[in-house]
Amino acid sequence: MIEVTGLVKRFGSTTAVAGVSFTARDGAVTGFIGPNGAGKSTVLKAVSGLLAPDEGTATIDGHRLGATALPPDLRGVFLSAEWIPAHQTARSFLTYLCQVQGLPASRVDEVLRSVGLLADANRKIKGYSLGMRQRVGIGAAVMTQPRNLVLDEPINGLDPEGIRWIRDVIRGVADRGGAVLLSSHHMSELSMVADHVVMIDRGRIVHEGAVTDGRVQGSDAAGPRRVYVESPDLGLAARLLRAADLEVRSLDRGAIVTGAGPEDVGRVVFSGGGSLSHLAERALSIEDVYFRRSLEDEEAVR
Amino acid sequence: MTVRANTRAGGVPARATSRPPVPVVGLGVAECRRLARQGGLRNASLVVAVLAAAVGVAAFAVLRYLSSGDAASATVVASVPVEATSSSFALLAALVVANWAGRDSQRGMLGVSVVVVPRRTALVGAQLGAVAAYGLATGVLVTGLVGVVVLAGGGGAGAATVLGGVVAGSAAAALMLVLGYSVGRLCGGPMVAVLACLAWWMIIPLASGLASALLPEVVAEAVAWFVDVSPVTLLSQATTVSSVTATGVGDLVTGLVGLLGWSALLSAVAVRRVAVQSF
Repeated sequence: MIEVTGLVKRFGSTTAVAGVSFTARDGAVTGFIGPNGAGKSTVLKAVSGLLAPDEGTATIDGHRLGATALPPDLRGVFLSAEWIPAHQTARSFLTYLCQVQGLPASRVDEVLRSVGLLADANRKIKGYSLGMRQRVGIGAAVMTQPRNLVLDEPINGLDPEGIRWIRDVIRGVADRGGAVLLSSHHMSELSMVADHVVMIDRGRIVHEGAVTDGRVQGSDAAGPRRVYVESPDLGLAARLLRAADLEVRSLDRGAIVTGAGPEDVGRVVFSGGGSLSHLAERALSIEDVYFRRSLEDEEAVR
Repeated sequence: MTVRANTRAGGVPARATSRPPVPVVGLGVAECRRLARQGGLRNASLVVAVLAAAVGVAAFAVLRYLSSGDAASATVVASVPVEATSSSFALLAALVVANWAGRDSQRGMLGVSVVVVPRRTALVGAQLGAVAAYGLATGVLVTGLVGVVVLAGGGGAGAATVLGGVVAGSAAAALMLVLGYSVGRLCGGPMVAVLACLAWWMIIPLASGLASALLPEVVAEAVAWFVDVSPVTLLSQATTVSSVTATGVGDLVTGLVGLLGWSALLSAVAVRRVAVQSF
């Protein structure tokens, strides 16, 4: 489990992260989203032990990263392909990581084979494409077969096969009971693997919710509830709903009603003598949550 | 990209049992191996070693040509090539290490190391030990090689001197490499690290020495002391085995102790810096 509690980090007079708390649970993939400059990388670095927070804690399975000797397989971390030394070969880079983590030398070839870089292992990394560097970095992160994973934008530059591979790796760690904290701007990918989503903006958590079938549940914090309805007499139903101060917008064979849950929408239509053939709450996608928050922020600025 | 049979279906490796962290000695061995691999110090130190050996062999050729053949002259012929080799190797290799450590800090390998080995003090301690061991080993190799050339070329009268020069020169090289590593870590960038070393070791002492003639006596004494304790002066003392016959080992020991002091001080500051560094 990755637990962040009351995390505060300041850089000079700028507060990058202001009291962030959330939990990436065991057995689940937690998507960590937010616009550029929101504080995602700062939180991920604190979780990875790369910077010390001014206040609060970040723990992995109860361990605070720092001076204490920890089992190497406690967590795997991939933060950026830029961190991989360009002047080394993939083999020398992974060999070093194997040795400092007490892994057998045979693990190097296993990792190189699994990320599809065995044939290029002795080339300098500076000659690699972004996707190849990503694969080296992700291979390095999973080489200890870690219990928990922290990944920042892992699919950048990956081809479809690589994306499927990283998706399987992420899902596999969670299925084995570990926690995965995954930051990405690829909302569709997150929808496919995330069980839970946490959104950060301007250094604060602005939304959290479970993800089911790519839809974020408990989206109240992200905006008003929305319900999809179909009716044999859609015009009457729409008039009744508008009369109840609800926003109605046509969609396909039905309409989206904004501002009430399905129980209220059904009551308004039936009590007015209308009827419904379909009534379902429309949960937000991760992308909806992201853009809704961004829109609200823009409106707040205006 | 293909996920192979060594992983479970879906590319997920089978779970391993939790293994203990690698002890500091193991980290040191891993760091030594990294220095000797592609992307470490291998190529640059090879170039430096060849240059330093060339300086030593050239010095031997010239000195043997000029030698009058008496005992004092034989000592000079035997010791000066080894001194020239060890001091030039130590200085150039220290600059190479400063450049490497600065690049390592800037391009993120240090960040990667800190992620996989969160015990930063142990990590940097292991790196310092590895750099010292690498300096000692390569120092022994290059000065030993020149020593063999000297002895084989007619410097047999100074065998003990040559051996002393190899030992002292290699120890001095190890300490200079530690100094270079620490400066690289503290500067955080390759170019800044090399310039800082050049300024501290050569430009400032040289300029201070030249300027001291124009300064009041009290200030000039302070400047002279500053020049005396600068690493290059101490390196020169630590490698000058030719004076041992006449003046004893005092200067040599003073030079090594002085370098040890600088290395210990800068290492402690570098360890502290990395321990609190944010990436």
